[in-house]
Amino acid sequence: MHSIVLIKEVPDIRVGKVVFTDKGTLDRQKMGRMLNPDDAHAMEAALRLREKYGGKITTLSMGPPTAEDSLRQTIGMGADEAVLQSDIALGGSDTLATAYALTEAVKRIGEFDFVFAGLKALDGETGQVGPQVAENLHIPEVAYVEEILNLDMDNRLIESRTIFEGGYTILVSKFPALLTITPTFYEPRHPTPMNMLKAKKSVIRKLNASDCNLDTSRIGLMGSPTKVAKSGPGDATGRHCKFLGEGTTLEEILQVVTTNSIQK
Amino acid sequence: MPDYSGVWIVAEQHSNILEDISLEMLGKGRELADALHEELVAVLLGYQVEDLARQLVTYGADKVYVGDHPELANYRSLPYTRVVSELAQKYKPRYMVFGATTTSNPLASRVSARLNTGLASVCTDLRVSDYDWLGKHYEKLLMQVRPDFNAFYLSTIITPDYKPEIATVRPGVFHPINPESAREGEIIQYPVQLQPEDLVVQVKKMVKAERTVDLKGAHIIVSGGRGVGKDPEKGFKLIEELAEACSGEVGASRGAVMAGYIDGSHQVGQTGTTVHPDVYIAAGISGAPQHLVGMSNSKKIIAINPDKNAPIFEYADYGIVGDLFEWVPKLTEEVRKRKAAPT
Repeated sequence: MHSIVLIKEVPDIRVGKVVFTDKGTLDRQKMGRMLNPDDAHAMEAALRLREKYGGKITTLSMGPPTAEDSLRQTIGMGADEAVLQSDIALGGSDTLATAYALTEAVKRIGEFDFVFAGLKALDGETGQVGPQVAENLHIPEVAYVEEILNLDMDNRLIESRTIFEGGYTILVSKFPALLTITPTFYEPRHPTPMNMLKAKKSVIRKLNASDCNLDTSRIGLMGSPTKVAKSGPGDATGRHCKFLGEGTTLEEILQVVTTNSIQK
Repeated sequence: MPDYSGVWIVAEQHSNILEDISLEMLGKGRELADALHEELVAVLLGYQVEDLARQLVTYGADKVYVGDHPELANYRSLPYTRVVSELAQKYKPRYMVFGATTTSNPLASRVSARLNTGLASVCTDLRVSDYDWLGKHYEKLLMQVRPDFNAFYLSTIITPDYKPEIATVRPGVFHPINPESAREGEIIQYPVQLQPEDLVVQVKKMVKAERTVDLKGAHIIVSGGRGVGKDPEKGFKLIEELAEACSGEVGASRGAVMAGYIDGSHQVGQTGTTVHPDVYIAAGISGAPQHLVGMSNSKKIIAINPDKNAPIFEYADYGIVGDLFEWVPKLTEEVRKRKAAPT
């Protein structure tokens, strides 16, 4: 059995890790980079599947050369091979262009039973690329998977519990299929020292645009249908906090609470 | 691309009940369609959903395309993608709007790939505008506003050279119009024809969450975050008591939910419910962007947190620097006193 796990390296924008410029924008130069947290959960799901049913895991990332670090981390977790799709021509790709490029890379990697993806990337938070890759590969996607329940190898069926608007569904899908994994069930393992050693020595396979025979009109900034017309610091809050004992009193705070707590 | 016209919303229903997001999209869609002087169309898929189509008309749709088929009874992305994409290829909408929900998000993604067009996701505002881009003038572009980089940025996305322009929108942000039962609209049945490859995923079981928590409709919400960590059970009990004293509801940050302190139905934020109560009390919540996005439209925000530099205070009107285990019961007691004594 062969699983391909799609991963992304993202700027570390977790609380407390963010660095701002004087102008209040994110200072991406000074910020760290990390394996997208949801993708670590996807990786974990693939590892658990391999533990039970055997086979091989290949991780794949489209991104700048620095993404090698995150790929090595997946080897540290237990991936058998890692592939980096990197090309200057891919810079600025939106989700449709990214999904196109990843699809072609998956085809170069070869036969597979499953493609795993994290629910979404920390920086873009679109959650689109997984289902778009599935569409391009003409395979079903099972989105928002919390837990894989069963695999029927004879009939090539996978049964999973997925999140569904606050509740859940149990879906049975033919495979090959693409699964997007929610960060709720598969708690990612830490790389083992032995695997980390292996990760350091591993050769990451590189693919560029021409290796994948990519149509350059469909990738990069120019090949992306969506454009960022404007981008700036988020909502100005328009609020000025009055602190208890400085700008306000308990009495005032209670007034706000009680006048609104009368049912209208 | 002059032959593309109209604003489409792809309605969402489960168990033959329209989801709120469907009506919210019609509210925003009506605004966009009126600005364009074009029609507002709803696409409705399901089985025996005729009544729902009528409902969509009362909420603003000029036209409803209905795909009614036993295999469409439950949402499944492959058959839904086929029908929605076929309709779009045939009738060429200018814009298509989907809900940013667990079902419509993968659907919108697949549809955009099948139609080979752009998709801006989880938008919090949509506007129509002419726009100049790279020296070229575009008319009537959909300006798709969305929080980016974990909501540190607010970006406006455009899809200038591709049609339809597709967006998903966050639930709870837009408002439905007042329904009018006398409204007229055209309901058109679309002949659904599915292929065997559309049916390779089966729904074995579907469990809707009991919605015991009404966060969207609440006037007051008291939310707890990771700050309850030293004694989560007691922390949320105190929060519940304050909520009860205020006739409010209990909310929670994703951190508290992920840590297992409280059930996910209470979650406020980007991956939870978007709320706008009159008063939002954040107890022990530091203010991760994904939480702020879900509550920053509250009328008044009161924050209790031991760290004066916590981001939540930037969004708050009133701040108490301190321990929630001390301050929440104090507030509860005071609120109870004031309610007991008629003023």
